[in-house]
Amino acid sequence: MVPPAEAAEDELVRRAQNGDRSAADDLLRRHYDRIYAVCRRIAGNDADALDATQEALMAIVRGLPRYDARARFSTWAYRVATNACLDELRRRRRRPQPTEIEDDSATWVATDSGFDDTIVERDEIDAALAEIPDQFRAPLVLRDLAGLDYAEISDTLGVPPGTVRSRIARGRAALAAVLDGNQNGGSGRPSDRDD
Amino acid sequence: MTDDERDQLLSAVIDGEATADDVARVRADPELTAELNRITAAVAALAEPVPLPPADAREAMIAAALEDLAAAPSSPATAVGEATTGAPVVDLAAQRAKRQRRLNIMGAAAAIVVVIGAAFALNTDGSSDSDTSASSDESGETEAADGQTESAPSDLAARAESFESEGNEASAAQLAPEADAGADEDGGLSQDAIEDALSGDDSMSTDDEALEEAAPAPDAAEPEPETVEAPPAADVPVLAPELGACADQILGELPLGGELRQREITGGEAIIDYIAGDQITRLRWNLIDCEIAEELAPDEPLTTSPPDTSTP
Repeated sequence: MVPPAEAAEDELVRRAQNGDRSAADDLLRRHYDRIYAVCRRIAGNDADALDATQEALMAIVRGLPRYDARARFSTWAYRVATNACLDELRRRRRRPQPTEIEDDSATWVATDSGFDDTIVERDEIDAALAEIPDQFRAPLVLRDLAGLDYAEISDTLGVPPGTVRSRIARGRAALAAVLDGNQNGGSGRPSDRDD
Repeated sequence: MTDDERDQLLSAVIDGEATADDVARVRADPELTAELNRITAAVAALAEPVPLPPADAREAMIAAALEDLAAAPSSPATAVGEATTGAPVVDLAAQRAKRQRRLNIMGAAAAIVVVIGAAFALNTDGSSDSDTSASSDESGETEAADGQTESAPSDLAARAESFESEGNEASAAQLAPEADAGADEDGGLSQDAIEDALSGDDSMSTDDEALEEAAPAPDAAEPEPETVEAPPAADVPVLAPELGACADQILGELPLGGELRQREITGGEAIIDYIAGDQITRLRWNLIDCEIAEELAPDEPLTTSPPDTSTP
């Protein structure tokens, strides 16, 4: 039996697919926070995360007619968002790196935890994630931030479930090592033992 | 215990998927326990909520995205094509239905061949001290079955024959990856996944990562000449794992009868050649939307230079 929340979302999707703007608006709002969070963690900075999120939202709307409910809408939306984020990363690597971008995150709102703590932790996590290759970072973010299960991540990234499991395990260990290394002056990049 | 085994064990404990024995093993080992605590802290830090942009930024993004909805028609089938930049996109539903019909015919043809083969085998087994020709001399039915079996020398040839008679445009080798892609969508399993299950996580992930990072090797060894007679290795479309979920749509939106060659993937786009006879149609694919972005002019003839299948 389909849970009521999913049934309601299915109805929203159906209406949005038929051009109902308010239903599409509702869908985007429901998933905006987590889509942005995924993009933010994968992209590593606010500017790229905003670009990627915008691309993801537009891609979701454009792709609505193609969504066929074989996967949950959220899984499909994360797939679109993850692709948008990874694409943004590739674009960023092709263009010249700008000089220091002023961080205006002080004007932003933390959702749960204390603001100051969040900024500090975000810097640490951003720095640690930046040292982890994309192939480990994306599944790690989808698992531990977005809360997707292994099958959903496999579907989202288009890689086998066993590979997802392996990458998450290694990505977690690498993240811990990098965080630890940042505090102790070491490094734990997974690529050290990836080849 | 290798590093990978240790990482997977600790990860399983964190996910609550480890057995009681494994948990006890970790708890009994101070080193493993310390590592577990370290990874658990990292996971918790990663799970911390991300500060969101200001509300006006969110509103602007949602409004901009909905602009696309306003421009899209209400009919899902036509919306797919019109949401693109005027590229010649085929109705996916019709394409899928068409493919499904062909796959059904393929299945029926394969089943017939199997049944006939089984009947032939039974008849052969039944004649304990005589060979097949002797048996067929004595039985008209067996002879008929034998004749049919010989007329279908292989399952693959039977498929190709079936497709040719059905539409004069499909080949068995081209449909095979479609079926594979369909299975991937429906069950989340691909050939890689099956291999993964058979060979274990570590070896699989190593293979898969090597595959992802080293480009599509299968075709790199020797580019086969074009052929119609169902040589599977040559006709299997060469699509890199990076294409991910788009692969099925790429296959679905192209007509049957040719083969695909991926030329490059850059920045969310893939350049793919659709080769039918000596004609090459070069397409630029948007991998984010899984859509044809535009049709390009091929820059080299197939007859003089096989497509380059290496990935940058």
